Order: sequence, then structure tokens, then C-alpha cells
Amino acid sequence: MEEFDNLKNIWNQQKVPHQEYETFLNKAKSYAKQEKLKIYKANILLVGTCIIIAAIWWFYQPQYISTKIGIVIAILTMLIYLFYFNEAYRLIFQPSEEIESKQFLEKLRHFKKKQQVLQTKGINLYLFFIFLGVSLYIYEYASLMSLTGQIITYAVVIAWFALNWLYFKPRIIKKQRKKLNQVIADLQKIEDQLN
Amino acid sequence: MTFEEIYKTYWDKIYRLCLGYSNHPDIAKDLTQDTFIKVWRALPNFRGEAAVSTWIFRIASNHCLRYIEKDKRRKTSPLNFSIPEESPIENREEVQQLYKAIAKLKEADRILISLELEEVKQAEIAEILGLTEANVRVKIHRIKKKLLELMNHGRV
Repeated sequence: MEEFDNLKNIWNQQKVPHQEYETFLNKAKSYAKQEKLKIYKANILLVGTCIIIAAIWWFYQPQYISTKIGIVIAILTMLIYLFYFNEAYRLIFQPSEEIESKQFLEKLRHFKKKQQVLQTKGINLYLFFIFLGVSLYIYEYASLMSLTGQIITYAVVIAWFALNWLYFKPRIIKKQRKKLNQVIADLQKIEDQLN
Repeated sequence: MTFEEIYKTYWDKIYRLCLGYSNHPDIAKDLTQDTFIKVWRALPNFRGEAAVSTWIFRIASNHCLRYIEKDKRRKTSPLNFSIPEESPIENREEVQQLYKAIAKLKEADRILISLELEEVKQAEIAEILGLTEANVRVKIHRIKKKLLELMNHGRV
């Protein structure tokens, strides 16, 4: 295929933009530093939150154990959701790019499917535990209120939970599904091209 | 092989592969840059189970192929890396025409033909992509035909 050899010549005429090795290295190092910083920030946030929990505990001196458990459940739920279901899961479990492409695409597709299931489960658990935490937290304060106050308080909490569960949750899940379904379909398409 | 040697030996090859895949100089720069950062980070743990070139081309090919999960949300490099434009991108018509023709191919075919144009041996392409050698041979034959058709009949 002489004609194809000609294409090889054309291919090699493409000029390539260069940068000095040292410049690349500095940028790569600064990128690695940024990544480390992200991990430090996450840890600082985790420790900071624990301090806030301890401070609330100390300064407000809630009488009931339910209030304390409520605070811990609500705050930990938020943290776990933020880190586990978003960044950490992706960083820890995504497949390595050092393997054969065919295998890589298959693993990536499975990973995305798992991520999709986890996201749905994650949001269900998140809302459930937040609700549980808030309910336990307000129990002590509501018990000091009049009956009307109690009814209003619980009604507001239940309405807030219902709004999240029935309105926001389906929308979030639908949006996440749509995005991941597209990626999964695209990965399948490329996998098929390699068969 | 030290990282510096890898960088100097493979930068051009990887850039052309990424450009072949994306047909977009900025995206190709980002993909090349990201590939080398991955290589730089993974090199200390590289156990030499595959040849260095196979390993690097695998990372680059996979990084290109997974770009579909990013291209809808990523407009610029998250690293904000800029490559000084020492030399302008080649604007010769036939070079542009070749890249345009490649862009008309399917994603996997773009990788396959870019590796072939880069003169990577077919046995190595098979190892990079996880295909049999016979399969690579058949596919490349078909893609070459299609590419020449696109180039010759001005369907680009």
C-alpha cells in the first residue's frame, strides 16, 4: 500500500507543540501537591467536624442521649456521603489505565454501573439517616414544647423529609442516571467496536 | 529508562495519537499532558511486565477512550496547563485533511489507525488493545481502505 505509506509521511509532518522537560516536571509536581492538599483538606474537615460535634455536646449539654446520637448521626451522614459516594469512591475503585484497552473499557463500564447503584443506595441511606438524626435531635427540645408546638415541629420535619424524598430525590437520581447511562452506553459502543 | 528519557522519546508520538483521536489541538495537549502525569506517577511501580512503549501507549489509548465520560463536562484542562506554542500547529491542507478523515472513523478505529501510522508493530497494537494479532490485521486492513477512500474521494 504505497498510498498508505504516503499517509504515514503526512502524519509525521504534523508539528507537535513542545514544552521543556523541567517545566513539565514542575507542573506535574504541583499537580501532585494539589492532590495531596485535597486529601489534607478532607482530613481537616473530618477532624473539624468532630470538634464541632464535641463542642455542641459540651456547650449545649443536652440532657437526653437521643439528642447526642442525633447530632452524631446527622453530621457523620453528611460527611460520609460527601466523601464516600463522590470523590473517594471514584479515586479508590476506578480501574487502572495500565491494562489492555478492551479489558479497561469493560472494567470501566462495570465500575460505572456499580457507581450508579451506589449513588441510588447512597441517596436513600443519606436521606434516611439525616431524617433519623434530625428526629432524634429535636426530640428533646420538642418534648419541652406545648402540644401544638410539638405538632408543628414534627409536621415541619416530616414535610421537609417528604419534600426531599418525593420531590428532590427522584430528580437527583434521574439526573445522575441519565448522565451515567450515557457514559455506560458510550463505553459499550467502543467495546463493541473492539470485538 | 528514566522518566526524562520516556518524556523525550514519547512526547511527539503520544501527542499525535491524542490528536488522531480528538482532532483538536487543545484536547490533544490536555490528553498528552494527563498521560505523562499518569506515567510519571506510575513509573516507580512499573514492573516491566510489558514493554515500556506498550505500557505508555496503553495508558494513552485508555485515557483517550475514556475521554467520552469527560467531554461533556470538561471544557478545559483541570490543570490549566499551557504548552508554549513554539511551533504553530501544522496547517498544511493535506495534514488537516488526514486528521479530518481520521476523525470520521469510529473511536476505536481512530486509536488503531493512529498506532499504525505511528508505526507501532501490529503485535504490539494487539497487546495494547487486548486483541488478537489476526484481529488487528483484519481491522487495520479495513480501516486503511476506508481512510484512503475518505482521502481520495474528497468525502472529508
